Amino acid sequence: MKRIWDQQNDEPLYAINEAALHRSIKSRKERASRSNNINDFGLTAICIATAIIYSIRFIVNTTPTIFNYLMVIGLLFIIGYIWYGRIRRKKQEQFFGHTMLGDLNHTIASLQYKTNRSKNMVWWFVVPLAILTMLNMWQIDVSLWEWLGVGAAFILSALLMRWEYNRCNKPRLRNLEALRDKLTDMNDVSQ
Amino acid sequence: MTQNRQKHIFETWLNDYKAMLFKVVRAYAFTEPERDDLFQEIAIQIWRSIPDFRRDSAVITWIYRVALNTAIKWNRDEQKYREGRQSFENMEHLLQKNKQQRDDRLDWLYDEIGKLDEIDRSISLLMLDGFSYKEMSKILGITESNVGVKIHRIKKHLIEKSEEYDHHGI
Repeated sequence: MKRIWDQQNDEPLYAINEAALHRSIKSRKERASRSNNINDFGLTAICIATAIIYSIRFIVNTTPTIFNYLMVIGLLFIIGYIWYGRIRRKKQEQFFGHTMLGDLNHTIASLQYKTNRSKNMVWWFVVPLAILTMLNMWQIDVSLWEWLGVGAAFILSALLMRWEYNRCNKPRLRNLEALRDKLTDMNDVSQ
Repeated sequence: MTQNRQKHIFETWLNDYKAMLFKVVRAYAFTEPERDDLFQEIAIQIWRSIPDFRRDSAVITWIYRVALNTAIKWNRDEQKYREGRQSFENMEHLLQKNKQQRDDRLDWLYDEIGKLDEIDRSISLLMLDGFSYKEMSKILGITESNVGVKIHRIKKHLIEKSEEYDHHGI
C-alpha cells in the first residue's frame, strides 16, 4: 500500500496555475480583512454617528430631554462593550496551540464569540436603544405612524439577529464542536 | 514580515510540498471543481499561516497540519456556508491534471480513504506518508496512544478492504 501511495511523490497528479492562485489569494485576503473588521467598525460607526446627531441636537435644541442624555451615554457604553469584546478576543487568539485540535478550538472560540454576540445583541444593543428612543418619542409629540414605524424597525432588526443566530451561527458551531469531540473522544477509538 | 518575503516562502513551500497538498485535496474533494476550491482554500490558509511559523516544528508538519485542518473544516461546513466565496462556475481553474499513467490501485486506495470519516482520513494520509506517532500526535493535538488506537483500527479496515479488492491484498 505504501509503495502505491509513494508513486505520487515522483509524479504529482496536477500542475498549479500559479497566476490564478495568486489572484485568488489576493482577493480573498482583502475580503477577509474587510469582513473581520466590518462588524466592529460598522457598529462603532453607527453608535458614534447616532451619538453625534444627539449631541448636535443638544446644541440646537434648547430643551433636550433627559432621555437625549441617556441615549448618548448608552451609545458610549455600547461602543465600550464592542471594543472590550474585540480586545479580549484578540488576546485569547494568542493562546491556541499549533495543532489541529488547537486550530479547531480557535475556530470554535471565534465562532462562539460571534454566536454569543449575535445572540445577545438584541439585549445590549437593540433593546436599550429601542427603550431610549421610545422614551424620547414619548416626551415629544409624534404621530401614531411614527410610533409604528420605529417599533417595527426595532422588532425587525431583533428578528433578523435571532434569524442569523439560529440559521447560520448555531448550526455551524454545533458542527465544529461535534468534529472536536470526534477528534478527542477516546471512547470512539476504543470500540 | 515583508510581503515579498511572505511571497517567497509561500512559493517555495508550494513548490516543495505540492505533491503532499494534492494528496489532501484528492482525499477530501471528489470532483474537479471541488478540488480547485479546496486547493484554493488550503493555499490561502498556508499563506496566512506563514507569519505564525516559528520553526519549532518541521515545515512539512506545519503545512500538513494547515492542509488537513482546512480540508476537514471545508468538508464539514465550507461547502454549506460558502461565505462570500465564488461559485464553482465562476472559479478560475487552479489545478491542471497532468497526463500520466493511472494506477487503478491508487484510485482504489483513495476511494477507500474517501469513505472514512474526516478525522480517520487525516490519520490515513499521515500514516501512508510515514509520519511517526509522535509527529501525528503533534499535528493532530491528541495523545500518541489515541493515535495508536485509531491507526490500528484504520489499518485493520484497509487490509480487510484490500483483500476484498484483491485476494492477495494490496
